Amino acid sequence: MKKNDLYIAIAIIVVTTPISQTVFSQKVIDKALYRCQYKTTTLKDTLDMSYLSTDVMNLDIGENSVVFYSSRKDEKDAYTRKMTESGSFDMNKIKESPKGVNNYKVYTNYPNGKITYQDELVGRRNNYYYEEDLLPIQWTITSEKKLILKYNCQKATCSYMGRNYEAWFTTEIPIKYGPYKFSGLPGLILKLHDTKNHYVFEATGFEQLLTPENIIYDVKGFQKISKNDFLKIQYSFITDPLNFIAQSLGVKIEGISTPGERSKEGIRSDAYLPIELSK
Amino acid sequence: MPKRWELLLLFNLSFLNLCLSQTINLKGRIIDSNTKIGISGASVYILDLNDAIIDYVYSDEKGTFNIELKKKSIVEGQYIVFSFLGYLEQKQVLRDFKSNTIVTLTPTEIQLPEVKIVSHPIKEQGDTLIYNVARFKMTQDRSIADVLRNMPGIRVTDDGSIYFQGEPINKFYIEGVDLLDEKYKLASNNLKADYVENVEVLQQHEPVKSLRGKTFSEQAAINLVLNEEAKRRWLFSADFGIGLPLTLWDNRLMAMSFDKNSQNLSMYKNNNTGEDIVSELSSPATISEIIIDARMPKVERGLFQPGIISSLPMDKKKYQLNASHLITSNQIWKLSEDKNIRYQISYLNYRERQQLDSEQSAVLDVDSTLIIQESKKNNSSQNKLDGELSYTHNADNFYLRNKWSSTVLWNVQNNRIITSGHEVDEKYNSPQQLLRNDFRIVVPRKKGRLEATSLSQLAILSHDAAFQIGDASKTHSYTQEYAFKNMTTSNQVSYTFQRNKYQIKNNIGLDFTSQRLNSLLHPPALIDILDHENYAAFKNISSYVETQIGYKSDKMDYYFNLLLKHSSVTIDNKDSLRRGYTFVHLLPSAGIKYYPSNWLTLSLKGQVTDNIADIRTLYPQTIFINYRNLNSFTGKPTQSLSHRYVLSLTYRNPVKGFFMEGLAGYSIMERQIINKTFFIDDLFQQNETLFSKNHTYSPLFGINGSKMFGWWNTKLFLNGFYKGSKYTYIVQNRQTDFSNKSYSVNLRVTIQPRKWFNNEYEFSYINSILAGNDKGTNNFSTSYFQHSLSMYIFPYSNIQVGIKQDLFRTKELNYYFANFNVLYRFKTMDIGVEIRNITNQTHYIFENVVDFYKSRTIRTMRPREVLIKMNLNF
Repeated sequence: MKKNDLYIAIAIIVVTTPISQTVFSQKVIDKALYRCQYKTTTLKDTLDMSYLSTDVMNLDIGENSVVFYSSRKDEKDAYTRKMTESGSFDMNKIKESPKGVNNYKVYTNYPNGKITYQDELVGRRNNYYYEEDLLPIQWTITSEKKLILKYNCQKATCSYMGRNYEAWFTTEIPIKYGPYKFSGLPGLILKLHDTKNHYVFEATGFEQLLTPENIIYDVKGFQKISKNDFLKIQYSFITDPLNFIAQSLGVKIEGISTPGERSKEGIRSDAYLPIELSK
Repeated sequence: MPKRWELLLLFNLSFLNLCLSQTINLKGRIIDSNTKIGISGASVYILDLNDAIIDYVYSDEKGTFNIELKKKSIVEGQYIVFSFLGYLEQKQVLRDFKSNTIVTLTPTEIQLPEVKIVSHPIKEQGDTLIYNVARFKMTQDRSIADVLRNMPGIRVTDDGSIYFQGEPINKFYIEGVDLLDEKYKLASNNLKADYVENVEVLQQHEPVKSLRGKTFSEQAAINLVLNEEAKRRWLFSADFGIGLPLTLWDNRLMAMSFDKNSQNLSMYKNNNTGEDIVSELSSPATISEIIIDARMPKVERGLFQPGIISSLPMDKKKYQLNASHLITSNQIWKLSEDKNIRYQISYLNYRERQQLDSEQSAVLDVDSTLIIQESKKNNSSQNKLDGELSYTHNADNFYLRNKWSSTVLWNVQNNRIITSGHEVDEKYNSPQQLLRNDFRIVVPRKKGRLEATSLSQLAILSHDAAFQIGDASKTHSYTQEYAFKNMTTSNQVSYTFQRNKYQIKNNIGLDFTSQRLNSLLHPPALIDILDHENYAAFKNISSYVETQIGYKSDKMDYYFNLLLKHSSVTIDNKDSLRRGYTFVHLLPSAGIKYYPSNWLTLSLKGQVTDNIADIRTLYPQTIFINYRNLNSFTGKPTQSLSHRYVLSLTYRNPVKGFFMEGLAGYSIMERQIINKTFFIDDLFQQNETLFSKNHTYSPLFGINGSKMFGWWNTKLFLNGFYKGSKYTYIVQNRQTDFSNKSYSVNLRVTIQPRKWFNNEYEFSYINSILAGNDKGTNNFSTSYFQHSLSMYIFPYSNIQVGIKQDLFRTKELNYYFANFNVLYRFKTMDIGVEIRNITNQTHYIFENVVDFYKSRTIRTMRPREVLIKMNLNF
């Protein structure tokens, strides 16, 4: 597909996707009993290995499902919600989100046998979510071992969406989940990274929650699209964010983004690669 | 035949293949031992000889599993493991495991080995910063003030005052309730850190709800969020301490309750271990209070100055020889969501004794330097009873507060001094009564708001002192008495209205001061003094109008203020007729604040203020303020203005735990009078003022920074300061321009390399220089270094071993102090032993430069002491 055609296709998806929100889009789907916290490091510029952004993400583990989200984004959202509910909403008080925050959220095994992925690309118009099947990842277990936090871990490798990964899991915590969409090992994944170290997830803590917390499934304000469409949109957003916004509004703007320059989000259009590259 | 062969070969080959690749299926079902229901999602894995997983599956919805293994790969020493979260793991020898077995897992309460999730230490929610106490508390920290010291951006001074980004806090709330007002140190110094979950810093906090977002508040407030353990119940704490020598005591009884609707903090504490409890009853004035405090201080300043004994730049526990008792009760009731009533009452009994040798050197002229040497034994006692009753109605659309307070103070001091061959006795008796009422109302109107404030104070002081000077042949007695009455009231009404982003405030005010000073002197025969009995009455009526234009937006705030003030002052006394003076001042002030980003603030402020006349600095007759110094002033008020300019930069990045503020200030004071000191002889010294135009210039630079690092829980605090002052003084009959400069640097690092080991290092350097304009002769300089290292080791979770070492270095000498402590923690009780001043340092020499002289004090230190303390909490 030519680049222009791609834009047109995206513009059509973005502009014409009907606002198909469910009325009761917010619901409690599980109770989180455990929480594992990860420090995530993302390489934002493949041409500059020092251009990293970090975030703190939580994996809330319920009986049937888990949710993986940014703890810092969650705090900011909670505050915005509190302000709106109390009626004392003041735009001045809503500070910029801290840099490097991951806007995505992954529900694994919700709905049953599926993964729900939601993301906020830019602005309110571009909040999307998609569902995909929770397919088993083909893990190869190796005999390598090491201690992470204070748990004995063993190494496993896999290929997932165009990247090769190394994972360290512990059978001392018999939970088959891990960060992002990774699951299916006989213990919790405490460290995971792709072999190029573009995406690194490293556990910093694990605890039983004193009082179980609700896992809330909230897609209010998010448009449901297919995963393929989302990946296309994400690709064009990442590579050319300004044009993406322009195109999504049906406006053609030329000569805004220059390859090799960093955008406002600190992303260099020609050097940032999303976590999922291809099937 | 060949066909048969082929068949046989095929059969043999396939048999061989079957033998070589024969797999077995291990099937089974995993069930709950109690409910007998299958467990879905349980993991089944095979461990090899090295305990590494070689294969695994999960049980399905019914709890069944099927794991396929190559028969050949099954060897001795392998295990099959069944595990599921919340159940006891089962491990069986693989060879012994038979297919189609039902595996029963037993639910268990065994906790997983948790690694606590470390939530981000500082969160930002709008204008509020939330510090997670657990992340900043070091194991040895007891009170919440100890923990506040470790929080970047917050500074707790040695006397317990709390600052955020260089400014004193304006409120200290507990669970959102202002129980203690300016006596917040009662809580910060005494409340156990374990009861506090979070410390919230409310930046640019405006305590009046109806003014929020409308004023230019610069100070932050602190709110303590308590944990569940401390809420909705009474908390009791008792400390008992005794020591060696056996006369040592240090005790505290405390009861507290912090509810949303009613709070109480009551306490009795006493000690003679040098622990400072006097400072718990006051806190530094905030910017808005400084001006009003200068006119109406909460304790009125008397005229006697029985030799100023400056405190040493070290913990008072090292040198203060005290006996203190403090009893206090503070209660607040919430009458409704917006209304509350509060009382605060406290009684302090404080006794102190000191022994010191001092020396003051001043250059009188080119070839003579005056040196005053004193050897002093001092006994002083203070009794202070103060009470306060306040009512506050703080609603979104209305504010009213009335605070009534009263203080009764009684100071007694006895000194025995040996100076230039004379023996001197001083006895001071200084009672004081003070009444104060503080009223404020804010009524928002449709397009603006109406505000009124009224503050009135009446203070009555009647002080007397008896002096006796003896030498080899004769003793001379003399006495000084005075009565001082000060009635002050300050009232203003303002109306503020909003035009777009502009706010215009018009203010009218009326201040009235009436002071009367009567003095009676029985002078010594050693000098001639004319007037023995005198009085002066002073009245000052000031009326003013003020207009302020303010602008507020996301990126920038600014204001411009113009005040036109008319003051009419009358003074009359025995000798002169009533004299009247009129002053008219135009006093502008302006400020701009710019926020280039959320984390950076730049501000520039300029202000012109007039200095308030006071009978104590005008009284024209002679008053002995101590055995040596006689004051007598001009009796005529003069115009004096101060100009102040401050440029400041504040940076904060809570996510990275980095806070910084820098300021550069310059102030000029225009005066019409000049201070003069005249040494009459080796005993007496006369202070007076002469009419002469002069200026005092004071530049100021300061920088504060604090940063938190991820490794070893390291925190760094840096503070640098430069303060200069150029002024004119007449010493003897020589007018000299002096310049006084002082630099200081303070660096503190706390490191926790291991959970069981942490330490804190502090470095300070202070250098002060006094120079006169006649280069060389009038130059004095003092400097000192301090290195402190505290180390704490926790060999077991309930045992703490600590050692604190201080090394003070001055130009001539080194002083080394060491304290050692061991603490054992029980569930609700701690017992600790502390050995202080192990090396038994007996004295410390402190040098300082003041006004026009250098002072050098040899101060007696507290001896080596052993203190055993027990703390109970329930």
